[in-house]
Amino acid sequence: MSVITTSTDAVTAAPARRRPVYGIVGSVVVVAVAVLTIAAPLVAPHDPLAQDLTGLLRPPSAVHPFGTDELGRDVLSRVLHGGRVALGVSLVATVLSAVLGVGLGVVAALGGRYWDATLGRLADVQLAVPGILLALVVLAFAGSGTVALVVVLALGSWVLNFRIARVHATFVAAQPFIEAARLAGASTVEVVRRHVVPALGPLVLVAATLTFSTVLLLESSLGFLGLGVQPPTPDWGQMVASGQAQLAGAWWVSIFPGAALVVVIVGVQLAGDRLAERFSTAGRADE
Amino acid sequence: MSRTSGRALRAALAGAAVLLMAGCSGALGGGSGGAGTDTDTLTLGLSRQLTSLDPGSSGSIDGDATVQGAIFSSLTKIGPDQKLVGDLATSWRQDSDVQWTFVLRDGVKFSNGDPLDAATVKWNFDRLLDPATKLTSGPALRAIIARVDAPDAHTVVVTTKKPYLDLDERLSTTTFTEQKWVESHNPVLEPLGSGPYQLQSVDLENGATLVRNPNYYGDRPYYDKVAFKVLGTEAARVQALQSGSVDAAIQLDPQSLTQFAGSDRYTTGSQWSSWNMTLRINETKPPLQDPRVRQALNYAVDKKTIASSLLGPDIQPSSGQVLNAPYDQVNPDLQAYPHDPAKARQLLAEAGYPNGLDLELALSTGTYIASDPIAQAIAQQLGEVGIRIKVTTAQFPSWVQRSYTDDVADLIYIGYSSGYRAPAERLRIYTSTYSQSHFSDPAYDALVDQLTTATSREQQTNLLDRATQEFHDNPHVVFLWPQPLTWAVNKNLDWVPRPEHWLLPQDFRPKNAD
Repeated sequence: MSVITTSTDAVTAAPARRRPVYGIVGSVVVVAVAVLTIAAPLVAPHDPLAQDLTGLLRPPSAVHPFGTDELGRDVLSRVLHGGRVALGVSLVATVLSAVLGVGLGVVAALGGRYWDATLGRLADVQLAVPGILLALVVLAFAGSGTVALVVVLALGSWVLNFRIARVHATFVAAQPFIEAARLAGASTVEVVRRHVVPALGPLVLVAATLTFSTVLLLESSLGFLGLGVQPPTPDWGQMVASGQAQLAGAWWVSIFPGAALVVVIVGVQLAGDRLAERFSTAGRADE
Repeated sequence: MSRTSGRALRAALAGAAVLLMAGCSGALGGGSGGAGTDTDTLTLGLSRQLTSLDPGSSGSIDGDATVQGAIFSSLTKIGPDQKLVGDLATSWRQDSDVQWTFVLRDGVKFSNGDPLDAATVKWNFDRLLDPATKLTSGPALRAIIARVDAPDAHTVVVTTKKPYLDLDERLSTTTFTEQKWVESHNPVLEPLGSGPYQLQSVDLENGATLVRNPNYYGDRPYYDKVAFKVLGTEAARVQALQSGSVDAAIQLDPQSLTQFAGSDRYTTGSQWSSWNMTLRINETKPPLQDPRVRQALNYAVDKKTIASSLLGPDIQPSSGQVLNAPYDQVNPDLQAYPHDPAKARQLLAEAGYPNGLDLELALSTGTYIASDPIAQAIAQQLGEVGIRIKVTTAQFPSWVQRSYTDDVADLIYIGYSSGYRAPAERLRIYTSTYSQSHFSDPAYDALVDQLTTATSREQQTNLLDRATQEFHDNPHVVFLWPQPLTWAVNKNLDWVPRPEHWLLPQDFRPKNAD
């Protein structure tokens, strides 16, 4: 996994220097989509819920740049508003996943063999259960509320953060300066707060870009399956599903929300790559 | 290859997977096979999973009943032209108000070669009428039929409990199997009948394969082999048509049909059907017990706009009754509740809900045409008068199971068809005692009971008009529309669409076949 290897890259030979153009493009795309979706109520040309039963499945035109859906609603407005939900839910779930993963990772690394073994097995069990399956089961019982959705998405993605945090925290804890800090009287909590967590920051940020993409895909898959955000609230995955049967006749209903997903995910990955490079270069400068 | 572009590529692939989920159904395939070129196998799409092939089970014509219709035979049957004709019976007569005699044809055999005579028919009725067998077709027949006798091998005498004018048509969906067979086999999965086809294999979730019954007494069906495929969702139906893996499918959203308008493989079409759609109302909870709230629901929905835009330009709203012409006899004096949001708001205020109310509308996935957009449109229109709708969806089995309990959603989008037009049976579905009714209306129930035992057509018409008027004024449903019958059928096939949704293999033959 490339994210983990970045920490060891730091001590190996430096790769050839690359221009950061991909990263800039990725960041610009992500920021642009984020701004557009946040500003959706201001920039969307129509009400995303306004039905027009006299104008169903109209192809893209000047009035409806992305066409209309099976209820005559403006697809562009729905894509913009749908992004608010998809990106918002994914962002919160990603943060939650990072907090959970790092917290448990540090406990496993510094809490002794018992905690390490217990949490390690828990992570193994979590990995053995496919995220989509866990989500289907939990949402079937808990209902498709936003809170349940966020929790399910975070539960399905904390292991990556846990693994990274545990490995790196173990590595940091074995460094001589930690021993020095302890001899100087620092408690475990202080060591964690002052030395371990700050050292994890860059890694977790890079991991978060990967987590975010995974979470966004899972969120959209759940929407596609009808278990995510419920209609009429627009959501990308749900929109892809609603146009599925009409794909040959009215491609715009599914393709535009699908394209929005691809653009965001690729953008986040490019930005994440750039971050990874930046941090590994920074690591070399330190040593 | 740099790591950056490698990762970006993987990310792009992951993202593309999302599009692919939809795209896989969009691939315009050019699959081979299909009856257009193959004289052996006919492949038909069913829109519901199968549950039982026992002739005593009352299954949907969209699923079980169609497969049963290919395997079994009945005393009478209704043809594609809606005319009642004999099947096992060559003739029949009404001897008195409560007694009917059916004369059976000679030499009828089951597909295993065993004979089917009057004693077999009597045994089948006894099986249905015996509450201990718990057959789902039983209760409705028990309400009508007192006893069945077989004075000789060719004569079946049916005695009804009370007068029943439409018995001959009512029995067109009652089919027969063999006692010896049922005692040694599981009729749910191993049906034995005397119809045009016999079962070769069945997988209730996915479909069934039938082969021609060599002992069939009627016209030899054209195809040797028939494969029924369960296509439980709109997407599955569209995909099967796009890949050319079925010769015929019905129950397509009108919006999906347009994709096949220019197809060189399929002919598409749409017409009225016998499926009467309503929103059934759960009146076991306070707001909906008030008739003003139920009237408000009827005033708030713009049935005309929804029907013409989402179901087809020819579909007209039901005229304020649960019956629709031309299939049903209707009360000509009734009109649809007009779309009048102001009136709806006023009725809600009078009922004590000036700030509106919250209701759940439950849908069954893929069962009724365009049900998702229809529910969204209804929700929007009800929202305009302050009725906030939460739409929930479930797979058909769990949805229908819930519909039998008082815990059913406040509103469910549901339709009924039957293989017969008997007015009393069409209205009985909406009496208080029906399994999916969650209300009490003794006045309406009494009218339907009288209608059931009417002894003349005039009396029947009079009671039908009174019952429908009563139900119109004190509605226990939101009257909607007749669901259209939509289809895509291989261009090389001759087939007459049937309003009940029968998709019977014996109805198909190649064009220009002799």
